[in-house]
Amino acid sequence: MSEKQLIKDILTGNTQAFGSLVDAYQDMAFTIAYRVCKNRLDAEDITQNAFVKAYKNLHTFRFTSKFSSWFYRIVYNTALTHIQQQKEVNISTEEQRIENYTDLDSTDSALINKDQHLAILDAIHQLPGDEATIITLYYIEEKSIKEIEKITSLSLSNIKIKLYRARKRLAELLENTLK
Amino acid sequence: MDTNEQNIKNLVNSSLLKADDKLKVRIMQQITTEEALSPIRKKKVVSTENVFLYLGIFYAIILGSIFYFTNGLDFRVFSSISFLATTTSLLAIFSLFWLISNFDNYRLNKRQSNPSNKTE
Repeated sequence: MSEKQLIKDILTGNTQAFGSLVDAYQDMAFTIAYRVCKNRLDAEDITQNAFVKAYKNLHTFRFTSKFSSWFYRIVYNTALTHIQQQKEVNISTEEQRIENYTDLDSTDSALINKDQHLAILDAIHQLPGDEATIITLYYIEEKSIKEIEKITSLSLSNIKIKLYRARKRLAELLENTLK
Repeated sequence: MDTNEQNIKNLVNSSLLKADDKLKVRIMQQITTEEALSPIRKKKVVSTENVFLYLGIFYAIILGSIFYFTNGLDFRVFSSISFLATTTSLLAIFSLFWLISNFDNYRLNKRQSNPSNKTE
């Protein structure tokens, strides 16, 4: 069943069909949420809230853009709202960060060794939330700058600058891994 | 794409995180629960019970008044100004009660159909 057909099916009242969308997008949604808030439990809550919001507002999706872009915008905005609310109770420490990494499962971790995997997660973790999100959307989802603009509401030039900075910073942080 | 760029792409690609297996269950449960709890918009049923109650009392009082005023007046009730004045005032009073009652029902229905309007 095509994505369009699936969405129409959900809109006619088939709640269970939404499960297919959850299957397709939960990993990427969780990754975006984690990139922004840098905390596993919060990322899960953000992902859950974003899916519920998407379900409630599915009737407003107009099929003029990709569903993924529309949905990632919800995830990104939900994450931003969440970190604004949590700003005062930020308890992220170095120790917790490493503990978080070991808890996280990567979909592709079998292709690289564990040290490399932790080095990548640590490098991305050190990037600011918006840069980490942009680099994730650009490389993993292969979104164009234009699509990233729609998702993040940042200007094109700003995205290009942040992407350049993030690439440069990642290259520096992963210098040993890249060799 | 140069080698360095390709390497970064490969490494970033490997950093896609896997959501918890239970997350989907949580999401679907929340959606199902919220669906079940969302208020169902019922078709408004206009209650006629109150209308008959007020009209019934109204006519009973009018009939009572007729018998009261016809005593000694040879049943020519409509020629009696006091009878017409009483009937008119009763009509006005009961119409007012009816209006208040309907307005109250309307408010009650509105509140029941939209519980979020409730003030705690």
